[in-house]
Amino acid sequence: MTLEIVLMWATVTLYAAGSVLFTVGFVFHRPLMRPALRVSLAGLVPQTLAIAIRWARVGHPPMLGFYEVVPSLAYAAVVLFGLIVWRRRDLEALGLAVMPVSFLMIGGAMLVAPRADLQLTPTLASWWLTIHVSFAKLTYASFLASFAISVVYLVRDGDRSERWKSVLDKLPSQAVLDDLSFKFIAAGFVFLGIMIAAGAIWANEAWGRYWGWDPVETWSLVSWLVYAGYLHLRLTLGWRGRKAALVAVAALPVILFALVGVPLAYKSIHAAYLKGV
Amino acid sequence: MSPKRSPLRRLGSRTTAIWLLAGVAACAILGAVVPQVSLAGSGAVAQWQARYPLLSPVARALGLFDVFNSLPFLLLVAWLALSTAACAWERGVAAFGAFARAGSVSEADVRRLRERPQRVVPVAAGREDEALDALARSLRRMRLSVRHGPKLLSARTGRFRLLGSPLFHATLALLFLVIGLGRLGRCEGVLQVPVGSTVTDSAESYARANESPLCLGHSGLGVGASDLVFEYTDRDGVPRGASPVVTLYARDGRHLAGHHVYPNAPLRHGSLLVHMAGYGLAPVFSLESTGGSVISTAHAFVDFDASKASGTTPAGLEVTGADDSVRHDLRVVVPADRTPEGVVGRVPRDGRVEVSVASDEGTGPPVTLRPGEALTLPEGARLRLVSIGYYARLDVADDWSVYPMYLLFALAAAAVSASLWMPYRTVRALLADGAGGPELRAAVSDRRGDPLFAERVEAALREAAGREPAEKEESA
Repeated sequence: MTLEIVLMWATVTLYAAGSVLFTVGFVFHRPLMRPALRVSLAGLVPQTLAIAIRWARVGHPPMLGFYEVVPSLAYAAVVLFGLIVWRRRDLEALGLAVMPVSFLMIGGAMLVAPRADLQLTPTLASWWLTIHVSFAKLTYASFLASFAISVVYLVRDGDRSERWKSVLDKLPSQAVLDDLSFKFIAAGFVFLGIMIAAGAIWANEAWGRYWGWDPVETWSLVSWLVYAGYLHLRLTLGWRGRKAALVAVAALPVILFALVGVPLAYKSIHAAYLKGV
Repeated sequence: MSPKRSPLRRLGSRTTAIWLLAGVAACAILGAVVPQVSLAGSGAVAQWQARYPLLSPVARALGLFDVFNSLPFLLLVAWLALSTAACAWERGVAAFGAFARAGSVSEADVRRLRERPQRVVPVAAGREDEALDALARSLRRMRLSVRHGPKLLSARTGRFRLLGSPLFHATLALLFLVIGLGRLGRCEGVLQVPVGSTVTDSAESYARANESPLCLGHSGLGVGASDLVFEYTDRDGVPRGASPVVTLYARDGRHLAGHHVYPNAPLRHGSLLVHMAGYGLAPVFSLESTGGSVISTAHAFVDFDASKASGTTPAGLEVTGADDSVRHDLRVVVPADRTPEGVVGRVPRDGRVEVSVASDEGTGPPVTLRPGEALTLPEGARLRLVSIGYYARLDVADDWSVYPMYLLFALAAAAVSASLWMPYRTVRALLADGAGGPELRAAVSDRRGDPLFAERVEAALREAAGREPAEKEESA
């Protein structure tokens, strides 16, 4: 087993431990949020090292193949979670949603994905790849953050018996959570738009056409339309609070499917970035 | 609402926009779920129909096998474009009105502040004279531009922020227009250019052409291919695969542009874009009269294909005989070399070509030719294989809309970012006499309803009024 794989398994272990601690702390009212946060963020250390080792060996950032792409999406989400908590300590309960999703993604990739070193093809060897994929990661991390905030919002909103009051009271007010969820969706919406535009420009450079209704392109557009719908519902029809949170939660599977599911489910010219062929 | 404006309002209605977004998304999902003829080919559609015999008549009736070119989808997109334009217009008119009024406080505003303030904070004894000054200082620290007199304060962010949303919608509407017109005027196709020669960018040169209804015709420029390198490495040391040097010539033969062309490095000239799509073999034939003089020469374009026994796809070639009225359809195969890894994409070592002559009676037996050898055609002329070279398969697209579209992308990204991240904010405050003494009466507005901004203004009001930050019960 190479050092890179050992480090990745260490990451999986720490993310799993973080997820368990967040859940146990929440469900059983134990003061475990702080240790859960520390353990979760500690997982970034081995993952950063593993990414760096692989990057140095294969000569490109984590952008090719399921094994590189999916854990790096989880990495982006945990880094963003760390940044959020660094700015607002009272949002550490977001780990309840961020960490299990991140653990499942990286754990799933470790179990099912081949770890072969994939090389950049002449088409992929472009600066646009870096721009396109970087914005994809930012998009995913922003929408996952919004999802996590909305989940926490809905949990507190539904906690009529005040069973989890002691934990939830440490969070900012519902109005602030609602606004934060919106802000992350706004950021993700802009990032997704830039990702799609960068992809279109790159496609024109590489293939001579900027849009071809390829399944990945189509589902990215669908995701953009879904989030455009969210923004319209919120900003023009005044959907806030519970309704907006429900839409934010329901929208995440669409973007997850567009980024990860479509290249696996469809025959697509974009499949190279997840399958390497 | 005046009856005249009603249709525009209806078109730009927020509810309509939501339904249109949902409709376009639903069509896109259908187009991704059901195979599309234009993308997956008719074979994939036939397979799907065989797998879902009950659904296929419905899908065919609804045009689901070509959703993105279907009239309902195009109408839906056109409607969305019009709705976006109407929305941009309405938002623009409102934003420019607010832009012109920004910072001013009308009599009605003062009356509202006096009678229905959003927030009321009693001013501590002795703070009356400095309350508005203190509030102004706090608001300036929040990067608001502040004007105030002895009793009234007005603060706002930069008024250009008002224009983000209308600009974004206007840019989107323009994008719809530019993309639509660009699609209607696009000329594209595949040019097969023998390496070492030049062909003219005109309709008859294309192996496959796609001319949109408003395509004004091809450029007429000369497109030359030379110096095909099979394993080209660019200046940064990145392997780029097969790459020819492609050159564009004006009608008078002037050199216009040229360089190695490979994926991500197309050749550009104005709105013309030339991409490397692949390469194949190009046997050159000459047609000779019975007297031995050359009547014409022609290239056959043969592609490598691992699935074929010969390793190449048979190519058709039409040659005109000595008498112009006599034409011959030839079928040309170049048996490729193979290794355990597959077909070798090079001129085969023994360099032979198999030619069959088709006639009304059917296709004759293949005749093997090597460079220099000839076969006699039925009417007596001779077809000679001159050489076997390569050809470059070039995707040529002439689309004026691409660069304006990039510009609109950038503008849209900037406008939507400004709209979502830099909302227009105002604070108005009036120092008035209340029942229990002087009080600050304020109205706070944030276009995005950011509660943190409201909290910060509330804190600033309390600080200015000499109140403890924790006191909240006095907010109106």
